[in-house]
Amino acid sequence: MKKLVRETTSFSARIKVFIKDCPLITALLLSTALLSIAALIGMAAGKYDWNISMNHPAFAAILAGEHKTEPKGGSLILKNIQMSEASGLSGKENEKSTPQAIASDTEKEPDKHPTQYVPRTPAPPRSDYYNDPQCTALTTEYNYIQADDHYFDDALFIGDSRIEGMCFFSNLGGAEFCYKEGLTARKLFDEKIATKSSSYETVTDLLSNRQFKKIYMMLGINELGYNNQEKFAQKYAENLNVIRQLQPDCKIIILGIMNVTAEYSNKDNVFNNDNINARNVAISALADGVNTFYFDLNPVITDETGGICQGYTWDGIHLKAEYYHLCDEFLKARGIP
Amino acid sequence: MVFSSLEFLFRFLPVFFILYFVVRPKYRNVILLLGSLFFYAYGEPLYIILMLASILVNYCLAFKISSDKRKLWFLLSLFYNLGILFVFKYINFFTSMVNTAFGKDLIPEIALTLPLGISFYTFQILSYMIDVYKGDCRPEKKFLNFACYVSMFPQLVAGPIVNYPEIRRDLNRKRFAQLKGIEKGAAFFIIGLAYKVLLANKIGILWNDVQTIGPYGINTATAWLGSLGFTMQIYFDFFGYSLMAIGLGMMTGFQLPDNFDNPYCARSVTDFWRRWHITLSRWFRKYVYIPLGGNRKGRAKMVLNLFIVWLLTGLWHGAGWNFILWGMFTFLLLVIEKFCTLRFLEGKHWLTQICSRLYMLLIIPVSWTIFNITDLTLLKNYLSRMFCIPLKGSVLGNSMANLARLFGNYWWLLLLCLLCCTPLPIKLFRRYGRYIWFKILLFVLFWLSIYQLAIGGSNPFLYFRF
Repeated sequence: MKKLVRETTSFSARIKVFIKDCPLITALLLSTALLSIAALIGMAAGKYDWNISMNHPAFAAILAGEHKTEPKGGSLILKNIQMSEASGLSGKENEKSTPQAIASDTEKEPDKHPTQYVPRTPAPPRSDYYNDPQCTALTTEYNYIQADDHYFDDALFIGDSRIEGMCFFSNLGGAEFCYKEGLTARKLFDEKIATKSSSYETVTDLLSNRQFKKIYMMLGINELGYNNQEKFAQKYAENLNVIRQLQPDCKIIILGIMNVTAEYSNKDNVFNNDNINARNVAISALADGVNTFYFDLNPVITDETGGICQGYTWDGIHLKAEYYHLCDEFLKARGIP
Repeated sequence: MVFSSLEFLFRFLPVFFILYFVVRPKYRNVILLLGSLFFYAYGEPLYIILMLASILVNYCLAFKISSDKRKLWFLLSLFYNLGILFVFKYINFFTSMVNTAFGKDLIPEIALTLPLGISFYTFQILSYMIDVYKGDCRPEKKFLNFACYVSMFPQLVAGPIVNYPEIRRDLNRKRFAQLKGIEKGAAFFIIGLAYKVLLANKIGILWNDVQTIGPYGINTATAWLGSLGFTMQIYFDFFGYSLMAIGLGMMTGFQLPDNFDNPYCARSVTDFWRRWHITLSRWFRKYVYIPLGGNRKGRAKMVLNLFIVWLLTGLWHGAGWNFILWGMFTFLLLVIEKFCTLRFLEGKHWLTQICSRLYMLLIIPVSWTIFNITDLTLLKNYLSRMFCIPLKGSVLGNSMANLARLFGNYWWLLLLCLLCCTPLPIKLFRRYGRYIWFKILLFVLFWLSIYQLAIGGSNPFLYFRF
C-alpha cells in the first residue's frame, strides 16, 4: 500500500497521516524536541554550561549529566611563578628550585628530605585544567637500600589500571595490590575495588583491617580533566591524612603519575604529559622524605620525547606485560630501611 | 562525519531531510548531491577536490568510451582511476617496499593521508566504466545523476558498493516521500546504529584490553578471547554501517543492495565470502575473476585467478603486508576447500554440521587477527600465543586471573553478540517490525545509543578507563 503525500490534502491531515504511518519517527522527533527544550531551559537557568556546538546538541548536556563545572581557578600558581621569576628564584640560574605551589605552606625542617625540582622547558597549557609549573619533580633523595625478597611482603599498592597491570605482571614478592580501573583521588574511598589476595571491597575496609609498613599509591590520570592540579593535590593530601590515621606506622610512597607516549600526549589537550607533570609537581610537594616519599617512575619508562617509549606500550598509556619489570627494578632499588 | 555521531544525527540529518522533502521530487537529486558533498567536505575539506575531479573526468570519459577508439579511452580511464587509488592509498607502502628492497632511501617517502572512502567510490566508478565499455550500461547523460551515484552519502564512506544499473532507475524516477519506506528505513538505521554503538564499540574494548597487555602477558585462552572480541567488533561495526546505509537509502528512496547475509553462520570459507561484504566479492567476481577466465579454463588457471583476486582483495583492504598475508591465507583456504574439503564441509549430516562450524569458529578469528595486526612481529607473537607456541621472555604472571577478569567483564556482551550473529534479530524484525512493541524497542535502542555517544563525547574516557 503506497500512500503518497499529495499537496492537495490539508496540513493537519498530512500530520495525521505522518503520525499514523511513522510512529517511530514521530516519537524520535518529539523526544528530541522535549529533551532539547529541557536542556535549553536548564542552560538558561544556569544548571548546565551554555555549550552548543556541531557535535554537542543541547540535550547532550542532560544525557551526559554535565552539571555546571566548578570554576577551575588555578591563578594562584601562575601568580607564584611570576613572583618567583621576578625575584630570580626559578629559571636556569638556579639548578634546583623549590616548588612554588603547595609546598609554600609546609615548613621545612633540617632532617627532612623535601622533594627537589629541576627546571623544565616551559610548555603553554593546552587546557584550563592545569598550569605549567615550569619544573619537574625528582624522586625524593634518601639513603635507600636494595630491597630483599621479603621487603614487599608488608607493602600495599593502591591505584588505577596501571597498578592493576603491576598486580598482574610485576614480580614484587608478597605485595598486596588494590586497584580499580578509573580510580581517582577524589573518590578513592568510595569505590568498590579489586585486590590481589584479600576480599575487602573498599580501600577503607582494607586499610582498617590489615596493617602495612609501606603504601605505594598512584592516582591521577583519570582526573586530568577534572579541576586543576592544586585542587587535585589538596584532595590527595586529604587522602594521605585518612590513610595516615588508619595506618599510623606506614611509610607512604607517592608514585608520580606515569606519562603517556609523546604521540598520545601531542594529540590530547587534557590527557597529556604537561598536565601529568603539573599534577606530579603538585603532589610531590606532599612528600617530606621522613614518612612520605615521592617516586618518579618516568625516567625508567620514557625516552627523550618525555613520553613512554613507543615499543613499551600498545595504547600509549599502559605498559605491555613484559615491561613492568622496569618498575620492579626501580622500586627494588629504593627500599626504605 | 560518521553516521554514529551526534553531529550527523542531530545536525546534518534533520537539515538534509527537511530540504530533501521540501523540494519537488525532480530537484531531490540536487539536494542529495549538495548534501553528499557537504557530508564529505565536512571531514575532508581538501580531498573533496579529488572526488569532484574523479566525477568530472569519468563523466566525460564514459562518452569517449562509447565512441570510436573506445579501447584507448577505456585504458586511459583505468589508468586514471587506478592511478589515483595507487597514489593516495599505496604510494607509502610502495616506496617503503622499494626502499627496503634496495636497503637505502631511493625514493623519498611521501606522507599522504588516505582520502575518506576513496576505495569505495573508485570501485563504483570503475564498475560503471567497465559496464559502459562492455556495453552493459549506457553512459549517463545527466551529470547530476552520475555525480549522485558516486557521491551519495549513505554509501560513500563504507559501501555497499553499488553498480550503476542498480541505482539508475531510482535516480531517474520521481522519488515521492513514501512514509512507510521512511519509517522502515529509520528502523534499519536504528538497528545498524545499535549494532555499531552498543555492540561493536563496546566489544571492541575487549580486543583493546588484550592488546594493551600484549602477547607476552597473555595465555592462549586470552588470546582467543581477544580475537573473538575483534571478530565481533568488525562484524557489528561493518554490518551496522551497512544497515545504516541501507536504511538511509530507503528513507531517500533508493534500494541499496544487501551487504551481509549472516556470515558467521557460514560453514566454509567459500560460503563465508558469499555472505560477507557481498558487494565487494561480487565486484571482484564480475570485474576480475570472470574476465580472467574464472574456473572455465582449467584448474591451474583457476588457482591463478583466485590468487590474483585474493591478492587484490587483500590489498584493497589496506596497504600493508598483513593484508596481503590475510588475502593469501583466505586464498589458501579457498583452494583447499575447492579441491578437497568443501563437499564434506557443506554436507547435511549432523556430524559434518558440527565439524564445519567448529572449523569456521577456528578460522574466522585467526583470519581477523591477521587482518587486524599491522605490525608483523606483533602478529607473529600473537599467533604464536593463539597456537600455544612458547614465546621467549613471557611474563604470564597470573594469567588465569587475567583471563577470568576479562571473561567476567565481557561474557554477557559476547553472548549478546553471538546471539545477534544468528539470523534471529532480522527474523524478529521481519516478523514483528510493524508491531508497536518492536517500535518501542527500537526507540529505546536509539536513545541508548545516543546516550553512549553523548557520554563518550563529553568524556571519552568512560570508554577507556585507565
